[in-house]
Amino acid sequence: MKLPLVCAALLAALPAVAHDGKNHEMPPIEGPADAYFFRLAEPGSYRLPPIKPAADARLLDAGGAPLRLSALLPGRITVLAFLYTRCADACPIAALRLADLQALASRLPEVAERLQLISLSFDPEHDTPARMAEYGRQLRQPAGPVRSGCS
Amino acid sequence: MLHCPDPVAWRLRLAAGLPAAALASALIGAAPAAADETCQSPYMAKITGEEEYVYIWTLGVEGLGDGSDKLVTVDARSGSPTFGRVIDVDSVGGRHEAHHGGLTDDRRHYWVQGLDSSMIFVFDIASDPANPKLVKTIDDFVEASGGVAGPHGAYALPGRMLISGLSNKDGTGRTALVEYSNEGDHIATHWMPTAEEPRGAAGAEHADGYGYDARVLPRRNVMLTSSFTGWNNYMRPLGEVVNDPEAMKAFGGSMVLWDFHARQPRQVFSVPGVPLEVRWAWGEDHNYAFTTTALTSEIWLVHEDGNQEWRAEKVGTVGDPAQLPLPVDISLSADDSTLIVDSFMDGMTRIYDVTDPFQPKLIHEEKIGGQVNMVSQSWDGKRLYYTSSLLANWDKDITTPDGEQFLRAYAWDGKALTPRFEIDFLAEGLGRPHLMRFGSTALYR
Repeated sequence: MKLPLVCAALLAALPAVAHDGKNHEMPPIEGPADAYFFRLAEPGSYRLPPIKPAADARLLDAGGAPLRLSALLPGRITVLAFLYTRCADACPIAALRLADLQALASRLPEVAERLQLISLSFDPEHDTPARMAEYGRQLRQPAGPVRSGCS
Repeated sequence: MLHCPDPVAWRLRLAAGLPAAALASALIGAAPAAADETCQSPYMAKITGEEEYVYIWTLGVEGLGDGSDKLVTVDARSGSPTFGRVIDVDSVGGRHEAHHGGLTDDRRHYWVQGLDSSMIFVFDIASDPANPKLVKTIDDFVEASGGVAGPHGAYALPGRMLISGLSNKDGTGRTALVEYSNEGDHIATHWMPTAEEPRGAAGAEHADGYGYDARVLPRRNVMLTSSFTGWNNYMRPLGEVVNDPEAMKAFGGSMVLWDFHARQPRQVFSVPGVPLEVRWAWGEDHNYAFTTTALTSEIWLVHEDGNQEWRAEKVGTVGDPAQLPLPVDISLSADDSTLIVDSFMDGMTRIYDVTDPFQPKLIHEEKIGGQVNMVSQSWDGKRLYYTSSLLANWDKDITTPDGEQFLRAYAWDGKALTPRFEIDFLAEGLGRPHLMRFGSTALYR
């Protein structure tokens, strides 16, 4: 498995973030601007309007089975990230945020049971189903209470 | 006990059917680009080669040709038999105060807009880049947006167009940013902050509610907007406006820094004298944008300091402000080293070395024509295109020499402008040329 090093390093820090028993608060911002680090608006203080219906893409799941995106969406809150495993800049950040969401949801069973986190690779040449399955396993290494709470 | 499937479904792989390149650019933002005009949305597809066509949104002139607003396509291919000539004209019918517009993120459609009628015309430039086709007309912008009028810029966001308004249904300058899907459906309206309704912005005492340009620096999650005036002023003859003290009070003097993700105004800056065009730098650690002020002839820099605080400060002047040169369009080179500033009244272009953005140094100035407004440059900075028209009722009298209406194309080598071709838009019966956008068949192969 050739996970980007940056990605693995970010995930290694996950348990401390996930199990500190506190909300994820924005650390104080000091010093020069960092490329992707900026203050976020307070959750719930703004609206994200629906843009348009999602295209009903043809997909393969991590087991290699074909399916449609529309089959996955009903009845759930879906957070979907576009990434590819060879990407070393923006994608690990997206992956880390999904891992954060997983950890947050683990403390809120009423959210966890409605939430699904999906990552879509747009590098199908390289990211085979097996590779994506392995990618997912790597991201779940710090097995959070979400998984142990589900049966 | 939770009876749920694993909520973390890291299981999918995209097989086919989605435009991978579009997704990539939407996610990553500013993708590397080899050639293109430099002042576009970072979410937009880029041309990888010399621009082939220049699409010019042109305001019709009564009694000239068909008198209608039109999209004029010019062949910019070096060596083409029709190089430097008009190869396609698409009239939209009527005069709408053709002004600005923009390309969608996938660069398949060109939205052009009327400041007077508030109509939006969407051209397909992808099916045949040499022969754009009008495919959609949006005629309910005012109603759909909740009272915004005078759609001005059209700025590509992922799957969306961000349209900065200039006015409202009452004709004043209180206005908003309006989002549409690429398919032409209204998504949201974000009103500009005012002192009375600052919507949480710091510096609210400077908020005046006017709008003009809106541009985004995605990696800092900021959007910057500028301020002009409303329908009551921009549709009125300039001579009348400047001699009416009340009318002269109804111009913008502010810029607003927004939380882009939340679409919330964060901070309002006092930038007196009508700041118009906004140009973000491209460099990965260049957290700043330029603007120029039309009435006070100043260059301003909006920048993030070492403590991530944003500031706006004057960093230079354009020509002799006492002569009211009226700076209008600006263009920043792709390497952030050169800023081009056009001024309408004296017909001049001035080119500044802005390697130190706090100290612009004039390196070239030249009279382009009797009047000049827009400038577009290729991504490599070697080719510049100028058009002449500002507003129908502000342009100089077309029966006088200074009232000429043109597209002029130059080569720029860092020292001198060398003419490549020009088109006389009056002699060809076309009208008043305004906004330019580049096209290329290479985008769609």
